[in-house]
Amino acid sequence: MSSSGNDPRQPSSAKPYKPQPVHPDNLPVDYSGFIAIIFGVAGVMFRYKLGSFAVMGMVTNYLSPARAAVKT
Amino acid sequence: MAKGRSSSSSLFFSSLLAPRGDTLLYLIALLSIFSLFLHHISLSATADSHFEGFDADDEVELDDDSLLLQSSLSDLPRRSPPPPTTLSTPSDPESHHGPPSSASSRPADSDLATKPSTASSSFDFWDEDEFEGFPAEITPPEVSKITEPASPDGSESAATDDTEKVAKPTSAAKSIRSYTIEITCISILITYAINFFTGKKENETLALAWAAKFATNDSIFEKNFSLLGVGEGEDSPLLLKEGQNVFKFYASGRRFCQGLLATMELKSRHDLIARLYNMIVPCKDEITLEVYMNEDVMDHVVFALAKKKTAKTMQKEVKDLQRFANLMPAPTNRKWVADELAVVTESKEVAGDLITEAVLDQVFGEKAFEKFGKGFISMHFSDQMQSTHRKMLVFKFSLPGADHMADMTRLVALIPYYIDLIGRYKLSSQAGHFFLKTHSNETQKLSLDNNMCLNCAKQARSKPEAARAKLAQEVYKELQYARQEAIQRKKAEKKRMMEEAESKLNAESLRKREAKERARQLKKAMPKIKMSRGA
Repeated sequence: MSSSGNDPRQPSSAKPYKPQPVHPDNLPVDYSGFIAIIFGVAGVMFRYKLGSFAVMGMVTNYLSPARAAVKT
Repeated sequence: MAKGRSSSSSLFFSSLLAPRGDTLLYLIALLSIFSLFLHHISLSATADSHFEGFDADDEVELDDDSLLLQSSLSDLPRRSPPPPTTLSTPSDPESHHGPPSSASSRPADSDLATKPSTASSSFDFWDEDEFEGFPAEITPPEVSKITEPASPDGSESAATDDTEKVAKPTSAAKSIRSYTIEITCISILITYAINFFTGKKENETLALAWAAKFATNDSIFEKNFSLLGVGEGEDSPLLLKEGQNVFKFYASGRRFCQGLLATMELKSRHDLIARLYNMIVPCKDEITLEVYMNEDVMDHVVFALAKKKTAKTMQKEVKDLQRFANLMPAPTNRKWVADELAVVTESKEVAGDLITEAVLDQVFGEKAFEKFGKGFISMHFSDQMQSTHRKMLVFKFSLPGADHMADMTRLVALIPYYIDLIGRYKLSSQAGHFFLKTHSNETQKLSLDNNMCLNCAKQARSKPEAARAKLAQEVYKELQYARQEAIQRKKAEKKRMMEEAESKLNAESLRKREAKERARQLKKAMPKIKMSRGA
C-alpha cells in the first residue's frame, strides 16, 4: 500500500522465460497435411491430376518455422 | 437382336466406366467437407476437369453408339479407334450433340432396311446369338471403309466426317486445354507463395508494432517489469515467433506476480486458404495476456468480465467459472459496467471490489467503453485456474491495426492496475482495517461502521471459503476413494496370487499322480513284454 507510488519493478524476482513443454499429443492437429495426403493418395489411385497436385499442400508444412526444441 | 444385344453391352460398359467418374466426384465432395474453402477451390478449379472427365465417358458411350451403328453397317475399324482421336473429340463441340443411341439406332434400322445389299456381305458372318463381339475380327476392314463413304444417304456417316474435320484444327487448342489443370494448379501455388511472404510480413509488422508501442523504452511494460523479452540478458529479443501467426512476449520481475506472458494470435494472413475463408467468416487478431500471480498474494477470487455472449459461454465452459461463479446482474445502487458487458463472479462483494470507480471511469463505464473498449474481449481472474499455474489473471483483447496501436493503451493499462489491485486484495478482515482500505471508493463513502464492515467482510469471506472447503472435501473424498481402490486392488492381487499358488500346487500334485499312474501302467506292461520275451 505504501509502495503504491513507488517503482513496482522487482528485478530480484525476475525469472527468465521458460517455454512450457507441450506434450506431442497436445499439439494442434495438422489438418492441411492430412487433407493433402488424402488428396494425394486419391490422385494416385484414380490417376487424377488435380488430386496429385494437392500434395503440394504439404509443402506449406515446410514453410512454417521450426518449433524451438523444448527442454523439459 | 444384334443391336439390342450390343446396346445392352454398351450400357454395361458405360455403367462400368461411369462409377469411376461418380466415385471420383463423390470422393472429392467427401474430402471437401473437411474444409469448406478447399471445396470452393476444388469446385472452381476442377470444373473443367470434371467436364473433361465426363466428356471422356460420354465419348466412350458415343463410341459404343457409333460402334453399334457401325457394327450394324459392318464398319469395323471404328470399333477401336486409336487413342489420339478419342482425346481430340472432347474439344469438339459437335461430339456433344452426337446422336443419342435411341435416335441413332432408328436411322440405322432404316439403313438396314434400305440397303441390305451393301451390308449383306458382312452380315453373312453375323450370327448375333453366337458371335456377339466377333465380327470385328472376321470382316476385313478395307471393304467396310470403302462401303461407308460410298453410301451417300447415311446421315451418321456425315456426322462422323464432320467430327474428323473439326478434330484437326482444334488439336492445337486441345494441347493447351489438356494442361488446364496444371496451369490452374501452378498459378494457385504461385499465388499461395506470394501471399505467404506478404502475409508473413504483415503479421510481423503488426506484432512488432505492438511490441514497439508497449514494450520498448519508456513504455508501459518497461515501467512495470524489470525483465522484458523471451531471452536472457539485456539484448534479448522481445518477441518469440512460434508460428507464422503466433507471437509471444514475456515480461517478469514485478511485485505480486511471477511473470506475464502475452500471446498474439493473429489472422493466418500467410495462408491463402485461411485468408479466403476469413473473408466469409471474419476473425480478429487477438492477444491474450496471462499474468502468473504469486502463490501467496491472491485471495479467493473467481471473477470474469466479458461481452455478454462471451460471458455466458465462459460461464458454461470454463471449469472454474462453471464450478464457482454465476452471472451477476447489475446492481442498482451504483454505477456499473457498460450494457454490452456482463460479470461472472463468485460473490457480489468481489465483483464490487474489482470494478472500481477508476476502472469504470477509464474503460468499462458506459461512455468510456464506447471510446476505449473496442478491443476488449474478456478478462478472467481466478485462483482456481485449470492450468499449470493456479492463480492467474487472463486478459483477452483484440488488436487494432498496426498504425492504431495507441487505441488499446488503456486496455493494456488495466493489467498493472489489476495486478496491484488483486495483489493487495484481501477478502478477510484479518488485518482489521485492511478490508476497508482496499475497498473501492464508494464503499468508503457509505461510511459504514467498522464493525458492520467486519461483518460484511466475514460474510464476503464465508461464501468462497465454503466453496473451497467443499472442493477440498471433494478432493479428499476422491483421494480416499482412490486409496480404498488401491487397497482393494492389492487385496485382489494377493488373492489371485494365492489362488495361483494353490492351483500350481494342485497341478504339481496332479502331475505327480499322473506320473505315478504312468509308472504303474508301465509296470503293468513290463511283465507282459517280459513274458512275451520269455515266450
